Amino acid sequence: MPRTDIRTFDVVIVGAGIGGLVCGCYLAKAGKKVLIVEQHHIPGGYCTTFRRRQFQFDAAANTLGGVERGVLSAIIKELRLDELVRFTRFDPSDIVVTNDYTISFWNDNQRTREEVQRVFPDESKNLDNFLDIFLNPVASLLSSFRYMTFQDVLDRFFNSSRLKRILATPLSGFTGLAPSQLSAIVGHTVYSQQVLDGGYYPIGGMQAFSDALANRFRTFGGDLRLQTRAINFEVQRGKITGVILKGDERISAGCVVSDCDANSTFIDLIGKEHCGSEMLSHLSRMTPSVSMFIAYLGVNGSIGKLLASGANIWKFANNDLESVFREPMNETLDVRNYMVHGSADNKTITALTPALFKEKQFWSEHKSAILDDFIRQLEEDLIPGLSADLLFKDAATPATLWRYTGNQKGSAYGWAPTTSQYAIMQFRKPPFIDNLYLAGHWATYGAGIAGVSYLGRDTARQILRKTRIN
Amino acid sequence: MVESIEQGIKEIVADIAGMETEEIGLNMNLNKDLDIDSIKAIEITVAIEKKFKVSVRDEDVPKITTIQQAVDLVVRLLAQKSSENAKN
Repeated sequence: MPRTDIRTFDVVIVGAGIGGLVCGCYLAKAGKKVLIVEQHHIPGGYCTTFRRRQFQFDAAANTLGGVERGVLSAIIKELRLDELVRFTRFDPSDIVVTNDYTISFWNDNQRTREEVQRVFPDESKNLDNFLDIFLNPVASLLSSFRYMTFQDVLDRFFNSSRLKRILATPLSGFTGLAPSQLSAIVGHTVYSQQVLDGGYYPIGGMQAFSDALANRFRTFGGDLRLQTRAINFEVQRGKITGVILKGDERISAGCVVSDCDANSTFIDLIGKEHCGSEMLSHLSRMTPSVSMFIAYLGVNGSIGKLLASGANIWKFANNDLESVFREPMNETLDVRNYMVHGSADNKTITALTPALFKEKQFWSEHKSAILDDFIRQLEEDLIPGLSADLLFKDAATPATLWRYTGNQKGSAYGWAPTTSQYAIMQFRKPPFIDNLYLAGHWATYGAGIAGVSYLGRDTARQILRKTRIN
Repeated sequence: MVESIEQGIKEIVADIAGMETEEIGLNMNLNKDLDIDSIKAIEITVAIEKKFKVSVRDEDVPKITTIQQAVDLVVRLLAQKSSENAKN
């Protein structure tokens, strides 16, 4: 029997990923009555941490960017998150290993600059000009990027294809796209924040950052319900009026923010009948970003010390970034292209390689062979003695990512941030339905934690501006 | 003509700022009144270029600080375009 005690909120947010949590904090801080519902038993989306035996692993995201100069710096200050979580910073934040060179991205950008210039002296001036557009962006130059891919930007500044590839490697990893596909505007944001202001780590694990947001949300009076699934949005005359939760509980809502997968939002929650054929056809033409196969390894400290603590070490055997991300697997996974990250305490190693979605059945047959291949590859390339000293091993497949986060095809970054899939208004504030906003990486406004944090904050501002006027 | 340009620009800005078109005034400052940052300014530029089929010079993008300035720019670009068409 349906429950009759209907609860009313100013805003209901579906999904406690970083976009949803940030949005919820700003709304609750401004005095709005806000409910966040999350299907998982912990908040954070891809920014979570789990334990297996004596080992602690970050599930997907393993560093933050923009804590000093980017959007997170403003958010940490405005929400006083520094009272709840402290950050350390790994130096270098990223290391690109190629057959010829190893280039580190240091916290001191000047040091990175000098390191690259030593290896590519002919590109010295070009590198200065290139770094300048991220460290001191000029509006007119930035606006010249509006129809460009990141490859166009690289081609504009550099001659050496090797250098272009080195500089693009971490960016490709952080967006799941080759530079020839990536929107230059998204690339600019991610490069400024995640590459040139990267390597920050919440003390205690990535979960500590999500928990800080969740706790701040609660202290502002917000209501966070975990293990709670939204089943439907209630739509009346083109307007969202409420959310139906699992168990047939009806919540009345002044407006709704979806921080979950786009197909779930439009097809399952809103319902095809309310979307219109134009939106449904647009939805079917969109391409999600690539997924990941993630190895979680527990090791003894001496093995762990073979990796620079906390650095994202990028090694792509394939010279063509295009094919690394576009065709990450045929029959099996090409585990020669990966990012590996050793924890600060040297006890755990996480390694990620791009992967395509396959059903659970495929992974139950192939997962352990792929994981062993991956371990052998890491051992051969960077971590001698790894397999002999392994204390724990497990892996997340695209099917795992889908199961925990609901991101279609286990997509790591929402819609692929290509030039044609950037800043599409219908995916941020659908025009055919009132009172609905999207605030996660499916809203087409940027990838990664910095991207969704910006969107969460901006969406809260839009809602507040609107309710102030009404 | 100018009225329809004004209306078109207000619609674009309203969309990107997350407001209703009627709430947008000609003298509003994009940054101070409407929270338009450098990235949103680029989105507005792209939307203007698509809607009015004009091409805004990169160096003119940062000069658009109010709705009125955006309208003036589009009026000027459309006038240039029609005089060029007349020449051809």
